Amino acid sequence: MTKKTRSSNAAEGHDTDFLSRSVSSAKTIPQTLARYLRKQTRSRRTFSDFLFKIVLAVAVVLIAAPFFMVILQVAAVGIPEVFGVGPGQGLEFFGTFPGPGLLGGIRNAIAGTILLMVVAASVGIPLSVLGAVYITEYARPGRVTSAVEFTADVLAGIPSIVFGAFGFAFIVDFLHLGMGLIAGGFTLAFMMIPTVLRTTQEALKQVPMTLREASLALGATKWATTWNVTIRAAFPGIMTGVLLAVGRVMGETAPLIFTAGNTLGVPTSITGGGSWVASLPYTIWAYITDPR
Amino acid sequence: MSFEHKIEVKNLSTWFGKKKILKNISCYFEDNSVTAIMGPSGCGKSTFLRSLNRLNDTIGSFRMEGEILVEGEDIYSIDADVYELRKKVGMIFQRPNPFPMSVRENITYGPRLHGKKDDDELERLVEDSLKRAALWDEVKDSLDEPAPNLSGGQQQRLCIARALSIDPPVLLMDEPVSALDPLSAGKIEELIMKLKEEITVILVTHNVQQAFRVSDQAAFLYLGELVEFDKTRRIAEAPRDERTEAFITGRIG
Repeated sequence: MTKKTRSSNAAEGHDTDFLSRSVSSAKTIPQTLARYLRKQTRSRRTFSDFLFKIVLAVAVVLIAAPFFMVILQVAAVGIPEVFGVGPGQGLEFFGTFPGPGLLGGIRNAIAGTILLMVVAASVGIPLSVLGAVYITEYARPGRVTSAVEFTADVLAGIPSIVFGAFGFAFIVDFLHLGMGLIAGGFTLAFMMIPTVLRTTQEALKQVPMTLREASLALGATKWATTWNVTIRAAFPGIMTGVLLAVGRVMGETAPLIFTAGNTLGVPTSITGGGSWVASLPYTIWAYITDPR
Repeated sequence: MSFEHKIEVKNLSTWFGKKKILKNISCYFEDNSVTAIMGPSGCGKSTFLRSLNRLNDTIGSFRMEGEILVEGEDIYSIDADVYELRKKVGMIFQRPNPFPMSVRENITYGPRLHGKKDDDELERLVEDSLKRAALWDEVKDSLDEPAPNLSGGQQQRLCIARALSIDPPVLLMDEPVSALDPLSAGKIEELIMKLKEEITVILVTHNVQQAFRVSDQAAFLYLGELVEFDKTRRIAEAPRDERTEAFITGRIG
């Protein structure tokens, strides 16, 4: 071992000289690296361990690289628009409606996304939370509950464009509600339901049985127990599901193409042509596909 | 209304699905006394206790025969009010189960359910209940802290205070100290002795020494059968049945 170490030092001698002008410390980087490599290749076992570590590290780099590229790209193009002071930049970008050509801002899209979220959340969240409470707290486990759970799981995996097509066929066409805020909001609500339902169910199942019993043993009705104790204890978990679902549908374009329409202003009515509403993802899509 | 015993159980048999848990049990519980229900694990102690406040009703496959009279009223009769029953018959569980709320809210939960809204009255109830559960001095400065932050022993006494907040004449305790350290267990035993001056306590335990220390009368359940039911001192000195003797000397259980 001593012999080996000595010979390795000798072998690295010229490397040290090569970099001695720039590196003043006793151990130079190539020297340390060489020592490290020698250590890793000492036997077959350490070598295979080392190789695997490299493979893992490469995987991490490959994952991280596109992420940083996206951030860099968005920052490079976006920062001048967001912080600039020229026409259509800075506050004007967020605060004004789109003008002719590329002028104006995205106020229509911001307002539209907020409105769509309000509609979607106020329809989707209560429905799915109440449904989850029924199937976990009230219904006897059986075919009906597992059918609901299965359906929710399938719906969660359906591509969003299918939701868009359904929204168009059912709400816009069949119910004659036309495109706009209601059709778009309800379509997004449908998309939220599976996620919120399933996470609420999981959160409710995590609440220990003994908490419910404590409440019942005080003479509380089932509903009082569910509302005051079970849902309250499951609240953080329910919120996780809600935020997950809102975050997901907020970034959806496909369900809105056939249902929400688009506008350069804000919706002026609840139904009909005046209720057409813009949204951020749709606006991005429109800008990208626009030849200008 | 006059009645012979605080609680009287007549020929009680229970099933979960097809499995018979309790077999033809008859016994009674008096005011201002502690009754210990002893027996090895799985002998039906908890099922018996939970029959007394109809908590078994929440389990779909539960079925019972026989009669249970609380203050002379048949609690399983068709017009019995289960919520009124549970107001009268409080319960403490094996593991402390405070609600994920503040100490104060844990106590006011029951009274609010039953229509008490006056803040001063609720405030008084919080203090009274915590004092009765010997917890007031330890938590009077942290009434708005989350109850799950208390120690295990404090949590269990909080659960006792919570049960006492609606002033039940009967308190069921399902192995209330088995999840606690010896010091906390001792405090709760003391508390049980004090509580019996005012109410009826029915205590399920698999700890024979504890049963002998705190109870006035005792019942020994074995495989769903009520093997022996008598004054605790008599059972401790001279058990009539050999199974009881085997249990209290530690040969079964």
